[in-house]
Amino acid sequence: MDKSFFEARHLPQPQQIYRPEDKLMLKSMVQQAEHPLLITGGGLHVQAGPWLEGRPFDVLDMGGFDQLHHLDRTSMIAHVGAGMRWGQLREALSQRNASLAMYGLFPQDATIGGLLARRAARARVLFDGDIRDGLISVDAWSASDVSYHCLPAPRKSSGPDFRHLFVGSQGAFGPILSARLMVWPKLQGHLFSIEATQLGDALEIWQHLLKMQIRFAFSWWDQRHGRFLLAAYWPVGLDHVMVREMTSRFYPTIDVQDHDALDAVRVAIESQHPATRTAPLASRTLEVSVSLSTLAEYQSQFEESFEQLVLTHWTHHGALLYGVMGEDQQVPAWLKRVALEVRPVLGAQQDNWTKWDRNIKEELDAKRIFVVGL
Amino acid sequence: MTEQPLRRELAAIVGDAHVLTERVDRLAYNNDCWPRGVIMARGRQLTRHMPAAIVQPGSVEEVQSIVQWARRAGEPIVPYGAGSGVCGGTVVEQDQGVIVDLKRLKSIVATSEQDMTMRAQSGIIGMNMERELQRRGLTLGHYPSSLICSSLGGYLAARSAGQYSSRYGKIEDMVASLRMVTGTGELIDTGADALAAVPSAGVGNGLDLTQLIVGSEGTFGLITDATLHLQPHPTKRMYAGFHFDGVEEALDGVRHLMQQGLRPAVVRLYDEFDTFIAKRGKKPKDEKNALPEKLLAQVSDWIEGVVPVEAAPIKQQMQGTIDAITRGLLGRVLGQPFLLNKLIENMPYACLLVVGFEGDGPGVANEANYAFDYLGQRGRYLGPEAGEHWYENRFSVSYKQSAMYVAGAFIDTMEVSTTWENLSNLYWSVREALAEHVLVMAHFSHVYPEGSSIYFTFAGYGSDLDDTLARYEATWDAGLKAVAKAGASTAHHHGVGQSKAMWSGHDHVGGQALFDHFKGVFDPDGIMNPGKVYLGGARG
Repeated sequence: MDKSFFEARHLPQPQQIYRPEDKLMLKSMVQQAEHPLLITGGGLHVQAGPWLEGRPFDVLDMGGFDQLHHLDRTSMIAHVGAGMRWGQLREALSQRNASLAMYGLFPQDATIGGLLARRAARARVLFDGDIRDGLISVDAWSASDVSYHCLPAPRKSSGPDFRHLFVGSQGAFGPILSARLMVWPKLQGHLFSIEATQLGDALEIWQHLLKMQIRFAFSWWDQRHGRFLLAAYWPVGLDHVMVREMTSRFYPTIDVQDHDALDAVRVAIESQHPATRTAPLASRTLEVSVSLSTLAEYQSQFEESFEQLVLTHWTHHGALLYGVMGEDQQVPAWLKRVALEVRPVLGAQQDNWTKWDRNIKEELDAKRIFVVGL
Repeated sequence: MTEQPLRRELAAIVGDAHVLTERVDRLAYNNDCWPRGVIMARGRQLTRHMPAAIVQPGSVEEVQSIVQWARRAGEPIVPYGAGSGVCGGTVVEQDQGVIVDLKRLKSIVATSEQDMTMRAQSGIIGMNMERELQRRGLTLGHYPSSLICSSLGGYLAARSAGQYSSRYGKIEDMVASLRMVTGTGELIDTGADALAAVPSAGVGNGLDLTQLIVGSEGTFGLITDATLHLQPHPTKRMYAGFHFDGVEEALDGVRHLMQQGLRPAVVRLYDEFDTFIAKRGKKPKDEKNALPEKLLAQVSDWIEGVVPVEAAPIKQQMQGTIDAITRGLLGRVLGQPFLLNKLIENMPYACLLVVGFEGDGPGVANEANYAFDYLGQRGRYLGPEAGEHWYENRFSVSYKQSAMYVAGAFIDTMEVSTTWENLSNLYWSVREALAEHVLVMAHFSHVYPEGSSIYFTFAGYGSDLDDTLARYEATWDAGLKAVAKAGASTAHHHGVGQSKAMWSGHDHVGGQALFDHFKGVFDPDGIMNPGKVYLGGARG
């Protein structure tokens, strides 16, 4: 990442870009920096928001932390540098006969640190779905010079989960250096494509699937295609009965029955992910976290208010909606009222930190070493 | 503050009937279920953790007023749910704190079937909550063995796990948002959710405070409400039991299933002695090994009567039958645990594995049949009875330990977790470390794709209070040192409390400093449950 990255995206120009490759270098660069630091991974979510506006800043580019440090094959845990990209990690794991099978869909170029650090209001899903549901531990460094290491052991009850000081806080308290993620063997994958031309159709299918209690690694409804794509992984021996259940109810038109073939489909979808900065309509796209009851109640408003709709990360409780607004359209007032969270994929977002968020920032980073790029 | 002004001031907030200052009441809140406190009580050390008063608020506003009062008075306050914690998370220093008993906040505020979501107050007892949810065709899926005597607030405060955690997760996986009265007396909502009393706009888009407050055990504030994700109440259950020759073989099978994406509701693997106590693990080939078996059978009978083995099939009539002769023998046997443990390590018994699936739809039977076939090829299939027996007895546990304490012994549990790669190392390291102090057995439960917890149960004996306490402390010290040395987590679902406060920094390196920062924000006066979770940091 260099200054042209910012220029091309009409973002404020940093004074200096630092690209550390290890923790020692990082600490030294932070000490050296003359301006507040904006932490970036792939630069996917860097925006010119109130934290940056009109102020000189430097960039701490974490892209140098791009190593797959270790793969524990027994526990199926990958220790990954925060700067490694999602697509890169999938490739590296594939070469080692492992996979990211149970995860949802994310932009290929997003870094692991970036995916973890971005703000995301959504329901947790046990073991599969969002990247943070597969997160075992993180190593991070705080502005108050605390090196934080979360022990890689499952589901600890030893006090507050301080991973969440760094996960979801957009680098406000310091960088994530590495993460340990659950990974999976290469399981038999199946992709089902079910006709669903309207949002209501997709919702109805999803409600039915919830009753059947079939779990899907990813779910993707794209209004333009009128299809609901659902991917599931089952061990050989169990897969044929599950496929039978699906086909007898929904008449899916595609059934990709191979891990690598399904991976290829996944990559194709991810490359068009609406949260990608380079997506053609990114500047008009909203990311909306919404409950299922709101989707049901406001389905016509959703369809009328957006030119395009994509819904992904469907859970028992809600889904993540990407809606493309019309030219010069403002965020609908009703949406702000009913959604769990509304965020523009690009463009400045209103700074809405609570008093408590600000107090914690003050406590941990009184000198404002790190700024949020929103 | 002396009793009368304290009583008067608290009564002005909650009403006279909801302030308890009589000695008998204060004694009742002298300890939760922390075994160390029970040992102290048996040794007639009754006042070590006796609170100055107990106050029972009936609304969020009253909780706020209590915190504001505590700030003015400089009085520490300690939240209390149902008192089933075993780590001393709700004890005060003698006469230097007020217990805030939250059980009057006991409502399910709302449920949404469409969003599979519930909002409830923190003082609701788990069993009452679950009964009401099931009446509505729903479940939280959180079934700790203490379900009848534990509260939602307690689960959240201590990052609790239920017996079905492999399917539903731990409480931190279920919670969507919290409402908490902070140590400054202000109200905070930690996240947007469909049932929160405030609109999402009031929550902000900064930190995910929910996961930073879950597990804080009242050190940042008092949780009053929570929104949690639900599941449909299952209509199908399939359980089965298996025998394996050793824990490693069984763990390999369980690991494989979890990493293939299967989601059993229950997985419980009992080691040889734990299985022996259940009298369900005899290997046919070892029928001749009679002498050690007789001794072990006697020990088994003693422990069978008193051990809080979670839902092991124990003969109920044995409870509380330790007589004076047995007591003497118990002391002699538990006083020499090393030999007994060595005997157990070589005992001719198999390990019992109980696996259960539940839910709706065709997936349940399909997954169960696949798993039972797989495990049956690697172990010995015992049929559904062993599993169903576990299911029938899943709450027949705990809180029946008094006979053991009467006999001068103690009993406690240590729940630790680690990755699959490290699991066997952890098991043997801790067994070895505990063996010279106490009689030890274990089961593996709460399994995940990446690892599992181990639940060690141990029994020890001391000749008098001082000797018992010394052995108790030495046991914990040796056990947790071994856990730390093995690189495993020191707490999986009991929380930290006072007993493990010095170990939190092992699981969260750098956690003490971060905790101190959070105390500075949420509890600047250091009045919220001091001395818990982390040892007294910069701000108490």
